[in-house]
Amino acid sequence: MSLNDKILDTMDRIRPFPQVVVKVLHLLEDPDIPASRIMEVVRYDPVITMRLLQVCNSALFGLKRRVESLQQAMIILGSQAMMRLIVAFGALDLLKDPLPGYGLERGELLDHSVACATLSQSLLKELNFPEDHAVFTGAILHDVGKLVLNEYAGEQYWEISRMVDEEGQSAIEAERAVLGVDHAQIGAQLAQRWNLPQSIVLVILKHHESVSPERDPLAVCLVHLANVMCVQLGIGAGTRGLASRPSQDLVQSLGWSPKKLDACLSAFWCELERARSLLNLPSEGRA
Amino acid sequence: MRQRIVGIAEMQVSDDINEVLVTYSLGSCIGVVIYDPEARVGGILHYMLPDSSLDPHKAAEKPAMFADTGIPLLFKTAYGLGLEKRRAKVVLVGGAQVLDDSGYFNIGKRNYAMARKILWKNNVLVDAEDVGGRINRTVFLELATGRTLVKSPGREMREL
Repeated sequence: MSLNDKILDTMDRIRPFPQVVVKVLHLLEDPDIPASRIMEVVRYDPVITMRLLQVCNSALFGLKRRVESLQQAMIILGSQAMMRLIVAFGALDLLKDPLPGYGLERGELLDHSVACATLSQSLLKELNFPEDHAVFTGAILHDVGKLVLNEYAGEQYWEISRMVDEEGQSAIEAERAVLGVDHAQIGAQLAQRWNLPQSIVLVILKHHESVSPERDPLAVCLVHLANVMCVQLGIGAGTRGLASRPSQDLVQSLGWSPKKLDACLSAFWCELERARSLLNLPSEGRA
Repeated sequence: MRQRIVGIAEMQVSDDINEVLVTYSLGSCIGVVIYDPEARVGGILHYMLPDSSLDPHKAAEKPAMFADTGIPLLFKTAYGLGLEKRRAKVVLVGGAQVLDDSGYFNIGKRNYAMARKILWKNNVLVDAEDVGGRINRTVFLELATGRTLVKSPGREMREL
């Protein structure tokens, strides 16, 4: 079997993204969709429903009365925050496994994805742009291609690392050169197979490319930026994550200074702690 | 040996010789490790950003997030357990960078420069360091011996 066939074969074996969440994401493409319509879909997924109710009944909210329905949960969480939790809960089981091919231990990819989603969301808020679900969801799923390529990146671990260390290539360039394909391309293919909205496929596909707000959707730019900022902090950077190339001029074209980025990081940190506790993740990012 | 984890924007100090302090995944952040071999007291600070003037409110709430509030706090807390400055061994780890020439992503470099500046101003010498580059580092401090070990994915553990 050729490497390409093997990769396609692995793609078939990845557990699918929950269909209920895919439906929700399509409904959210219409910004005027009533939340009640979304709840009608979500209640068909018992795991996500249970997790949402568990969050509401946790010590975080300290409520006296038990929350027993999705309607009550929405009132407590707020509809936007609830949508984000639905997406995150849908991805939890998919993203928690260790990926030795990338030097990521159990829980690290999940923590990186949650951090990237939280930061993308707070960058969006910082720019005063309206809610855009491709930002949070795209960020949660941006590295999903690593699930497929882990095995092959593992087999070629030393060659990819050598190209990064000795030839100064970025991790994604080295991966593409050695495997003939990279995790952004494979992730976008997976997202397409799962029938995710095109806006999300694009975020996944372009998260390592050179992007700019003049040419690309805002969600693409923000997830690219948040990803670089997270690996820079060491969150889910693994073996070669820091060998990432941020888009030149992106920050400048958003009208931001380096100091502004520092301020975003400091604000983001407290939000990440909250996101981790909502999702019941360990605070140091490891399971 | 019990491991005690120092999270990002956190600090831990200990005089328990059965403990190992560990801080995971230093990217652009700096881990400041201090240890007094006589008192067998040590600590690790894992700070994110160089300068607390960015957000004084946040600095009051989370002083370990910034170099200029975190480093003095680390030393003061360790003095409380009997560490003496003249005996303290100081190690700096982290300050990595992504592939960027624009200067927008040089937090690692700025974090490192700030640690150097603060320590120098306070007459504290740095005994060892493992900083810069494009690698992710995890640091361990053994309280019994003061051994400081650094591990990066795909690389051998090294002692500083």
